Amino acid sequence: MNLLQNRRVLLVEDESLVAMMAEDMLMDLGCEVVVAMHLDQALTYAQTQKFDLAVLDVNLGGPLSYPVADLLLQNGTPFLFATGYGQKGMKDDYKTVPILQKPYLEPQLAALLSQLLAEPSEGEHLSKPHRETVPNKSAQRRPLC
Amino acid sequence: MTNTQPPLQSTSAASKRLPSIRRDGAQLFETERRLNAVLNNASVAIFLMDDRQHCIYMNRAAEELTGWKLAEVLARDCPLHDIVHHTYPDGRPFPLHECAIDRAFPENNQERGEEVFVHRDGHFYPVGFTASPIHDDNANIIGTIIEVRDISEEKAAAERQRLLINELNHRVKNTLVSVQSIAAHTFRERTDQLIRETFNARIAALSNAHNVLVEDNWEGADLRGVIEGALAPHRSAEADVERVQISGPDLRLQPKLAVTLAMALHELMTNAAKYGALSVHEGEVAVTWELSEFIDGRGQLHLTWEERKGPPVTPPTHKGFGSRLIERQLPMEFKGSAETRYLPTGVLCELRVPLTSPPWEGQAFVQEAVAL
Repeated sequence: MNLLQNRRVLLVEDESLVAMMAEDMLMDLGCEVVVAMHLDQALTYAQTQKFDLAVLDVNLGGPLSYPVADLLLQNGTPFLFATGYGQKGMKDDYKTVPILQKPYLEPQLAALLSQLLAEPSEGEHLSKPHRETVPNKSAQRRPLC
Repeated sequence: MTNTQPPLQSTSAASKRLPSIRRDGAQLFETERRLNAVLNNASVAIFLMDDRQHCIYMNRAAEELTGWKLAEVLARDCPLHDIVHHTYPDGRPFPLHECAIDRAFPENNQERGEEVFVHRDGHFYPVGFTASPIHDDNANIIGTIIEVRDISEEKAAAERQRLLINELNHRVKNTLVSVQSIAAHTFRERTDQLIRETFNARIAALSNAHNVLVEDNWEGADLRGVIEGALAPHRSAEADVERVQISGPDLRLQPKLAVTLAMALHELMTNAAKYGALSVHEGEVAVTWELSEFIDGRGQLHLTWEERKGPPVTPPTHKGFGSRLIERQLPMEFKGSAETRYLPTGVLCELRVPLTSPPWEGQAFVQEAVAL
């Protein structure tokens, strides 16, 4: 059983090429992906929409994504940091948040995200996808070259 | 002309205005006390020189900087240069007449420069100085005031930064070459040659984009350089770059935009060479740009890629890497827009990108988020 199927994922990543790859990986895993490439946009999404999971790049071309992390912690959305910095570069406040070191592979992303969903303490609304029946339209769009 | 006035005492002209001798004395004392407090608490070294370049006053910071006490300097009775600046870092003697600080006297106001001083204990240290002449009531120059600060840390920091940037340049280039090498070995004999070429060309485009950044210490890139860098690999036989016209004003781009734009241009160029205007002998491409005003008053880059006299083109049936990068990612990454039209005359792609987005945009949201 694929735990990630039809999960709604907020992807925050400011580099186009990296965002494209991460989006493809998440769609391959059956997720519905919402991409934010700027801090303000990411904050708006995190404030106004519900997500099952989030993948946050740390450095968004200057601004850091910590305020988004704060919002996600507040509303109980499980998330991970995907960063080239590694644990050393992280602010102490977020030591408990799992880190996916860039560059990463799809199985690593899948394993960490599944682990986040499996953790029981994250709140009831996370036990099942928000949209159980809606097929993932965007997942059918595939890059062809 | 010699300086007979002790520098920190009031002039006779000033004392004439005072109504009584007693108040005069008290006020003088108070003035001197204040001046001493200012001078001795200043973190910058301050030297007062007479017209023979002898130091007649130095503050506490100057004593700490040089290792000499004012009394000792006064007792030496020689130009300050011979006490703190007498030797070049290579060990040669440094005569006073070669000294830039000396030469600054007496013509130039606020003459600035950098020199290397010799500490009392013999070690050399870099300093930044500002020298200004002091005038008497008749506008005669009676001395110089020199501010000096130790710039060892700034020099060391600049050197560290230079080394780091060199290391960064080296690493980035080598990493990209490593990626190319791994791909070559992994895909050899196993993958379509066309796919390998496409891959290699994209890595090369990424590498070229970084070349442009390296030239400018990663602080930005010149748009023309970015475009030329993106087109350079196509200068071979496959597409005659003479047929690609580039025109627009000088413009500096932030590093991120330079890289993504270079990748986008590479895709357009590759497409033109394979299927578009550059795939036929008489076809042409014009890359033009102008700076317009974005709605919020910021500058906006409006770049047009226009193919002419090529074979008829039709919209692609699917979105590939190139069109996804250009039409979706680039506008998203830079809050701009992209429009590609497949006209009978050839591909027309228009990019609009607001420039120099403030690095801290989104801070208002941060405040809001914190306040929640």
